[in-house]
Amino acid sequence: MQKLTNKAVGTLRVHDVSLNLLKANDYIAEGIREDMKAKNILVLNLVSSPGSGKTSLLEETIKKLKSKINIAVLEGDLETERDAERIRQQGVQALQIVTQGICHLEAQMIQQALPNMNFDNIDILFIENVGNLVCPASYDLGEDIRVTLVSCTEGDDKPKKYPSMFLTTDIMVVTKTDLLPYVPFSVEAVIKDAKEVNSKIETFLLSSYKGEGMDEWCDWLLEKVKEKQESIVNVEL
Amino acid sequence: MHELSICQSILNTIETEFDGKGIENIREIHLKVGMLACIEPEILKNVFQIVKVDTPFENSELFIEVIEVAAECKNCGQKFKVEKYIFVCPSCGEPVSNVTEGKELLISKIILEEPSYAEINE
Repeated sequence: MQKLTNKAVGTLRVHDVSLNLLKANDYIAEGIREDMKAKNILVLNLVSSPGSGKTSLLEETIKKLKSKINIAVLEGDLETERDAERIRQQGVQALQIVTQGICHLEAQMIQQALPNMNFDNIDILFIENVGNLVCPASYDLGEDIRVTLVSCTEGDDKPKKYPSMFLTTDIMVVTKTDLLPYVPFSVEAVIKDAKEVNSKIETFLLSSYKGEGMDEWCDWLLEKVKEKQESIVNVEL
Repeated sequence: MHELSICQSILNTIETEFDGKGIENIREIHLKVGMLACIEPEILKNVFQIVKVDTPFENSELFIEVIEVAAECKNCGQKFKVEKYIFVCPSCGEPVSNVTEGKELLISKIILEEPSYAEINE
């Protein structure tokens, strides 16, 4: 005798898909890029390992440029408001994003922070990422330029050890160059390795502490602000 | 180190794709992870084991295919594996900006077990 049972006999069904796991981040980042373009603001994402001098570079950059352009800073850290306080002491607007343990900034964090800032007449927004050469590489924050710092005290082997970061980097800044005579760091080697990973990388050498190389860096920033504002005017014409 | 964020993104992405329906029937989730994605497959699998508890994903397992870095030279057309992160064409020496594989971070396949009611002879 036949009878109907409700015993499940599973059929396996395969769904071939291609779902990018960073799609949501990239979508938000693109929105930020459009928003910043409409506001005429150049956005730089600063990444590096902890302690290579991102905040010091920003402090010195602000000192040199605050009479010429208006700067705002978004600070990313796992804990504390310390970096934002350091930046505010330079008289510019700074907002701290505390990630509470997350090792990188994501576009969504930037999107949530932006309405809390005043962008009237701002020319540059610096985003100082969490100190980490690994994870921030994967997250587009809507920046125009990604700047990676390598301090000469941490060694010249970084581009080959963290290739994903250097592949997505536009500018490499070698910091603490005043210490070059005392550490086994080869500027030639770091540039060679960075170029092998990404031939388009441009390099700056500077010391925020002693000031050498700061003029070239600041002149380049002014040039980039001008370029961005001109490109927007051209599009409008 | 950002495996937890990526894991959360796996759950969100699939929930969106399936409109939140039938997720408890998923048995296998297959990922393609490039060597440049900065993701450690074993850590991601472990994180998934923890995150899926008490969610509709409880009956699913994660499978990860690691994709090596490959590029295609824009100058001479040579396709090659990128070794030791030297992004230079081995044939003509041109710097490479065209990475064709190795950046992937995506869900490539989802296998569901759909219950069907069958007539069984006893």
